[in-house]
Amino acid sequence: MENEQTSRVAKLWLGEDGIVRIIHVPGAEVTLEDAQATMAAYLKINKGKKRPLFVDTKTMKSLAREARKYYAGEEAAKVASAVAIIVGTPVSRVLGNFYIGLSNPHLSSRLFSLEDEALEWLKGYIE
Amino acid sequence: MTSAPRNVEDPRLAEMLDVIFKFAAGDLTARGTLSDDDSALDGVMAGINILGEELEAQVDENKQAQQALSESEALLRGVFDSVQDGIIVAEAKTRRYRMVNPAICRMLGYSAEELLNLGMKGTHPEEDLPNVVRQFERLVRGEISLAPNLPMKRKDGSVFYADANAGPMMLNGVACLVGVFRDITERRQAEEEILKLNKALEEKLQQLLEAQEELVRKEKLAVLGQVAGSVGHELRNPLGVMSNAVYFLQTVLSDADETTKEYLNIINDEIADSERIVSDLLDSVRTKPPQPETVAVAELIGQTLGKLTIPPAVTVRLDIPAALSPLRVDAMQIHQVLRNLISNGVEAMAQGGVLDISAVENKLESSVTINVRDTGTGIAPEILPKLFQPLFTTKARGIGLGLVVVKNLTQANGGSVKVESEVGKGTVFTVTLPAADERGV
Repeated sequence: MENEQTSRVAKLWLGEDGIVRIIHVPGAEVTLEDAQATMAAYLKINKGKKRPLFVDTKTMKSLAREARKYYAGEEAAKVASAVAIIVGTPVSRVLGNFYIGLSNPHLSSRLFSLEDEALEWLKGYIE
Repeated sequence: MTSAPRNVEDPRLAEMLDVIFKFAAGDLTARGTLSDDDSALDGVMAGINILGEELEAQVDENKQAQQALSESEALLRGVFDSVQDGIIVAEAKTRRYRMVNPAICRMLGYSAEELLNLGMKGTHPEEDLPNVVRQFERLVRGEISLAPNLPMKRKDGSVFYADANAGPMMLNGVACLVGVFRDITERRQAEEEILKLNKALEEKLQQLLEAQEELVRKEKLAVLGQVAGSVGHELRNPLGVMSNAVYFLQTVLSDADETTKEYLNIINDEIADSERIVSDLLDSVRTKPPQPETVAVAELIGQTLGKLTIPPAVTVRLDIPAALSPLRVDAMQIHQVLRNLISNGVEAMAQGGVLDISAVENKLESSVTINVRDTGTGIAPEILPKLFQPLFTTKARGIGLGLVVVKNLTQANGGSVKVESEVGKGTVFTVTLPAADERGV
């Protein structure tokens, strides 16, 4: 499907609401290469528009420093409009907080425990 | 080696503490494992792992920065030590030397330690120190970035000159001035050499111009000499005939009306002037050997004045001592000398003035000096050296031979002539001629 892509660590698809979902596989240990592959997969489904990202990290086990910096850098901010990070487990909360607290992301970023709240917030970033 | 305490019962907590203790011991690569049980301890371990990653990255970055700083310092030290220009870092406020490089030590002949103790006072000549301090302060204020030609004093007391480029810098929080000194001795020598060469070139050029001028003048004179001989001779006879004719007319027309007499006198005067020009022309190209005779100065001057027409606006004052020794000269020639000088003096006073003619004797040198002084317009200093050159004249109707004749005839009679003048005040010609001895010879 042209609205759906997968990488080694995540599955991505563009929803009818214009929001791209990125759901990580259980136990995902995200390296820089994984982050770049996920971003490449996103570019195949975003249809050339900056879109809001719904990123579920509840199953993520680790996020390498370089991958965190990559997601927080200018490159991601050029192609996406915002990112809502869904956390649940203590590990995902730590990873999410370190991402926002240490990496100072260029992209508008926020942590959510509830998916509905996240989707509602992202609607404000649909272009 | 620090290690985790072994009395912790929970193995996950023990692992967590082990990782933290390894961090404390400097092993920032230590990481803990996650049990994937969604426990809070898993979250803490994930946080500790991220902390380890961050610390490791920062230590690496610091190491790289330290390495870059060390390399930069080594580079600067290498430049500082190996550059051929002298470098001095001095405190802006106290002017105390803080750093000196090997080149400035070599240039001044001091060790670095000696220079640091000496400071500015010891490295510049004492008499130049006020100026050096002024330049230093201007550099500190940023008014200039280059202090050129600074005198530098070596340990052996010798002095050389340097250009100092300087700029501000902070050294351990103290405002300093870093100065780069370049020895310009060779450049100064080269500049002085160029100046000398330029001067020599200008002198040679001037000589060349003068030689060219002299050549042109000699060529003119050569032509003039050829022409003067024949023309002068050819003119003299008709002038003589005309003079005789006028004399005859004046004699036979003694009862003529005043206008006729006046015109006959005019013709007579003009013929006399023409004869004088012809005489000057001939005398300037070939001076006849003088026929010395003993003649009184007063008599000579009196006769000369008697033959000249002095305008009423000109007052002639004579100061000829009665006891003056007579001259031993060719009376006709010296008469012509005096006539030319007096005529010149009178012509210089077109608006009137005083013509002083005086004479003094120098017994020791057996000579008599005759001064002809006018109160006319004077002669500009740049013209004076050309005054006795043939064909040089400032007169509208002159031909530039009168003073040549004066010089030629005076020298032919064993004398000399000189001139002094001041623009607006007048001119004095001084002719010195041999006096006759007691026997009249």
